[in-house]
Amino acid sequence: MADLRLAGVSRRYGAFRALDDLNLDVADGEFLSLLGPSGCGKSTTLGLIAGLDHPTGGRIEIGGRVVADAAAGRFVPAERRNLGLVLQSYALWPHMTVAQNIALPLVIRKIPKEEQRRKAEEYLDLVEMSAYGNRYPHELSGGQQQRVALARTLVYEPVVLLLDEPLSNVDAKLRERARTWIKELQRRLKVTTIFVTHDQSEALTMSDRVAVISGGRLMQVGTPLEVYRSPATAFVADFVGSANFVNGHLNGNGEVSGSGGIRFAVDTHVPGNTDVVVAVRPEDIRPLGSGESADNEAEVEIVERDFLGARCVYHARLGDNRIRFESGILSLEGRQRIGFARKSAIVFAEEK
Amino acid sequence: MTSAQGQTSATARLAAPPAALNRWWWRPEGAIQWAVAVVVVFLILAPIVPLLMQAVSSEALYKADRHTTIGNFVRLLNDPAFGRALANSMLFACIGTVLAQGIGATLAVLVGRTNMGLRGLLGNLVLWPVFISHLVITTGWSIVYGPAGYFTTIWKQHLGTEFWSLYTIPGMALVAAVTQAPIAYLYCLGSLRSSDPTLEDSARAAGLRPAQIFRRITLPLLTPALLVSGILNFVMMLEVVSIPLIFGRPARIELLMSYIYERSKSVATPDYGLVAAAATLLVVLVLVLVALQRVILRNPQRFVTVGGKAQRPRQFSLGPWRWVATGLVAAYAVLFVLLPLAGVVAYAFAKLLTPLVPFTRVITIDNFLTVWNTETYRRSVINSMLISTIGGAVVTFIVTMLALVVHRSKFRFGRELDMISLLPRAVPGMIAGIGIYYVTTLIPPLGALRQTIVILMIAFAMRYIPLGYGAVATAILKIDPQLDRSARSVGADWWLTQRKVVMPLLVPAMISSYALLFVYFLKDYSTGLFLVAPGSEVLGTTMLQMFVSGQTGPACALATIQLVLTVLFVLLLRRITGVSIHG
Repeated sequence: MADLRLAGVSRRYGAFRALDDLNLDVADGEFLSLLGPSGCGKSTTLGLIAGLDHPTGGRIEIGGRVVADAAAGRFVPAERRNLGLVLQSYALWPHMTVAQNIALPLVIRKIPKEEQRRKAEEYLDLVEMSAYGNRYPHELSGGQQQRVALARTLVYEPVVLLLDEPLSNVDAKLRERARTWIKELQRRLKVTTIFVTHDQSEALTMSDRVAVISGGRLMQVGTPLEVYRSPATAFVADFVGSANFVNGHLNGNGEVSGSGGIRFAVDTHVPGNTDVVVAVRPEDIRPLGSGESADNEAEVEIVERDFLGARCVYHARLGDNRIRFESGILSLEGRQRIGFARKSAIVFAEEK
Repeated sequence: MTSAQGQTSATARLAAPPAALNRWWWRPEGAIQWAVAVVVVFLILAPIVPLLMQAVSSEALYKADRHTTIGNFVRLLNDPAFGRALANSMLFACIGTVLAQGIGATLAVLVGRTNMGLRGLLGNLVLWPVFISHLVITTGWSIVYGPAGYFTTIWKQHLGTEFWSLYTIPGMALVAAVTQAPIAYLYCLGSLRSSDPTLEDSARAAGLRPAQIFRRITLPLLTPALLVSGILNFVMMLEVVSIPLIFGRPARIELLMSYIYERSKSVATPDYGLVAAAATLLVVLVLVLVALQRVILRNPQRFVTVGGKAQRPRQFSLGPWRWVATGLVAAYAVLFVLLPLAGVVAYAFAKLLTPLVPFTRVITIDNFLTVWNTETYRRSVINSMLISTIGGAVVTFIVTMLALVVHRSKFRFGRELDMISLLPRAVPGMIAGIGIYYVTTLIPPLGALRQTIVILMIAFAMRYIPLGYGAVATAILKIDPQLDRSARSVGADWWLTQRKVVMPLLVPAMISSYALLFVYFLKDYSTGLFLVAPGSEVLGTTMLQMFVSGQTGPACALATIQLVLTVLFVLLLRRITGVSIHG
């Protein structure tokens, strides 16, 4: 078990910056997700931590040991970092049985035969795959392969566990169970874990902290609640959860005049007299019954309704803007009065 | 599940990286990768560099008072015989390639996509020339269809003068086409079988009739396969030695290979400079063609559509033409492939072969006794077996290591190594042999190997690295690199990862590569032409010399032995491993 520190880590391919000046500290035993759209640099980051790739700038420390330092030319290859890596395809070696797959890391470490067998059994048991030791990988389902891959990785007690979208090859139904299962296992083993995903709900449900990456840059790092409630940028607000965006101008009194002539009040630290982008989450907007009121009110025209079961997402016209809002009332149509609190509007100064 | 306590206590013991992994001073990967690079580069450049040196040298390489000159090229280009040979070779290769591609594509469509009868049997028969030396096929044609050939004589008896002659450029091109048609056939068949059937289904749904679908969808998809195999065949036809020597020489039609052969092998004082210059020009010509093929192959997905699911394309129904097609393909297989081979085997068991005397009167095993009693012939068989068995294994090992270094390591010159490994394809066998011969005169320690089969193994290794490498490299690209990555992450270093994970998965490809190399080593007759010495004779070169000097009977006996060895090997391999040699 160890903490992990990335200081100013960059990776360039020619002129392309796959990762640009990443600073990240992960505490011992923490579960941190790297979240971002495909091609954002999250897998690059994982490869750099794992030692499969050289950083072109910056330093990586694991448990206080410098494993990569571009300036000093120091680089410890993957096999000497003692990390655990579970890849998207699980990469179980197809010519070895489950038991052989799990034993190989122990064979490499020259652990006595008897202990190899004992540990392999212990970890097969841990992932509830004891009955499958003699099977070959192609004889297992996706979920079973995933658990074997985890056992193979955990069996040598790596100091950090790296998971590269391990749930994307599991059926949707099983995925939720697998989430809970991996999270429980991680809490129990207290192994520092870096979890790469493009699925925001995975990141929010499983992590202690989430690091949102986009275009090779770290956008925000924080607890799932912080990232969701106080996104640092419009990109984060959009990528984590969903949001309605309005461009507008913020005056000195905390009022925004938006495009299409809408005006509303906000709570914000952004100084007045600036161009801003305002995000309001669909679940923060509610339909108002007669006699109900809110900080900001407007009348909209509902044009479409997505039925989700317990709730509905309504698509509505507000002036020239299209907005979405959610409600447990399933039968709204036509003209409708809506409202939202001024504190639920998230204001970003427009980037110049 | 086990208790969390068990986990934590075990953690305390094992948390540090394994001791074995901390031996930072022992990193085998660099040493291994460099060793592979050095061996491959040496093998590939060994014949080419001295050839180039000789081409621009005023005297033979072993002489001291030589200087650099372009005189050889000037002399070559001023030699009218060279111009004629070049023109003849081009004409021969063009006709031959067109014929081979036509035959190959027709066979592939009929066997692969129609309901023609006897598809399995005929489809296999027409492939035979792949496994058989050009020399044997050429001789077979001469025995059956030559001016005094078995078939020709029967024709003369009943129908008058024959209308064909193998001693012309079109005649030679036909023989060459039969030897190379299987290459076109295999490429087209692969392309037909991997094409996505939904392309044709959607054309059908759009209202196209089967004949229109065939013309508009199916045939255009064959274009890349025909182009790529066409260039391959064109190059092979420039390289072939047996046809110009057996048919061209008596008719005084000189091709490039016989031009080179005449001026180096069959004269007392070879004109080394001229020969090397001619060989260099040929290599450059072939290099251009090979480069052209690479350009075509660069974007195969532009032409070839590979469906994700293993669906078999639908068959076209030929209707009443079904039996006409069957008859034509059967006639081709029997007349062009089987009869010439039967001629060779029959000649091996006969004093002489002619329809004028009943076969029972001339039947004999004398030819085999001659082979058995002549030390040179016996040694040729043994040497060939040794080279195929051992050399095949060594080259398989080398190309496997090469594939690992190129595709599975961060070796600095991986790309360059990949490119250079294709270079031998541009060097015809006989010319590679000449090049290695020069090396033995330049580097004295290698000169000592000249009397042994080791020098032949080196030449064969160089010549066939692309063949073996191709088989292994395509397979290694299909192995998910994530398998390596996870092995590295659990603590295996590069070399251990290759041994434990990549190599075991490559075993089928290594067997294919070994089988290909074994068969090609056994049938090769041109690479050894300039290298064999008393003691290091091989089947192919011995046979060529026997055919050229008219000892047809014993030569056919050797050819029969070669055929039997090949068939036994292919059958044995299929039995043991289930690996089919082509495909």
